[in-house]
Amino acid sequence: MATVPSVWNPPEWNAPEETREELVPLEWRGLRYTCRVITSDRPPVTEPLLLLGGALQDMYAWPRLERRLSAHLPLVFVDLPGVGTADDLPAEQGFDALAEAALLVADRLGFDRINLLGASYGAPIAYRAALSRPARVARLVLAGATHRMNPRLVSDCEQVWSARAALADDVDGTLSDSGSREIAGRAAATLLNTALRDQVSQSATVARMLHRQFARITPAAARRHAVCHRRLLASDPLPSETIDAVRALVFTGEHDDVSTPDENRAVAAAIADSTFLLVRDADHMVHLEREAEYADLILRFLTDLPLDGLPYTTAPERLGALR
Amino acid sequence: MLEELKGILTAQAGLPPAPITADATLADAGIDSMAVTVLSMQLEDRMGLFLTEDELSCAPTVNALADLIASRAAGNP
Repeated sequence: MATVPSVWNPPEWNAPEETREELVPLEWRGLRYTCRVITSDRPPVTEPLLLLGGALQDMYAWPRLERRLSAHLPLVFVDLPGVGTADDLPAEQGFDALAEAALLVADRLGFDRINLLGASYGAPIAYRAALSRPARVARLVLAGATHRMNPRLVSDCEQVWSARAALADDVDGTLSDSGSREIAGRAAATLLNTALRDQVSQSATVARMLHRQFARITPAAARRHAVCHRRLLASDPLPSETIDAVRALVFTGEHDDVSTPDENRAVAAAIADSTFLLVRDADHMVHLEREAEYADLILRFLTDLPLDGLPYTTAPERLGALR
Repeated sequence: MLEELKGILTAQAGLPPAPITADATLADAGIDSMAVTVLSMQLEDRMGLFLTEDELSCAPTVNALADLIASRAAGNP
């Protein structure tokens, strides 16, 4: 099989003037939500990519991936119910409901087939969407996926955000500096592998950026985050059913301690036609720590290029039934 | 200062050089929250300047950002 040269170039940034952005209003069972569609004048090299991000990511949370991939394929970012600009998703609604809402995006945009990327909290949504309508999913990418979250970790996250939601010590919900710093520090620590930070690329920068982002979260947003984590505690994120008819890439950072390499490997093993690998020098926040490599890896997979010999990953493993 | 700023943004923050022009807005130059964080940390490490991400993000253009840094480096508040 062909391998990539040891010197590689990440996808180049597309200039904003080369792209068009359209906001499309959506409604699922009475809940209003919105997606952003980014297109360019160039002919697409593969099916459109629908991105389902983490619990703390809205549809503007992928600026660098957007710039690197938008010249190659249409991109769809979505604030699913419970995220960003969307209506709240009732706590009793689970990941299957979110998968339905995600598939409705493709229906509404008239895409017969899509590429689907689910990262972290978005992974169970993407997995369930591919399971329910495999013919609609050309390729599936899961980043930071696990069948079952570490309950103590999720409980810690839930408590942090519940505490933030409750700690509105002023009418407008702002906290004292020390209060916000404490909440932000606890929240950031749950997502980062602090014990191995010396082995994680950009770790200090990412920690500081997350800290700043979390320090300014409003009580309303914190309440939503707490609901997301209660959803993770209520049932296993990924069902036990296997995926047989969708090609998939499963990966995370080699130092991910939120969804560990072995947990991601088990997800790959449940998908017949899957490839599993780890991105070096990264943890659960691999999309920030190694953003150029992240974009390169995804574009390669979505355009059916080989993933062997990439200098920034471990060797690909074929763990599903189709080996 | 413009060239030094551009150097930090390309070498340390991973931005491509072409969009970082004097008149570009920070968004058009690709200066996102990650880049602003890198810049704030680099200014502190290299020059002992303490400019928060909020202060840096307020600059309307790349040139204004360079002016802000130059002004602070010259000892102005």
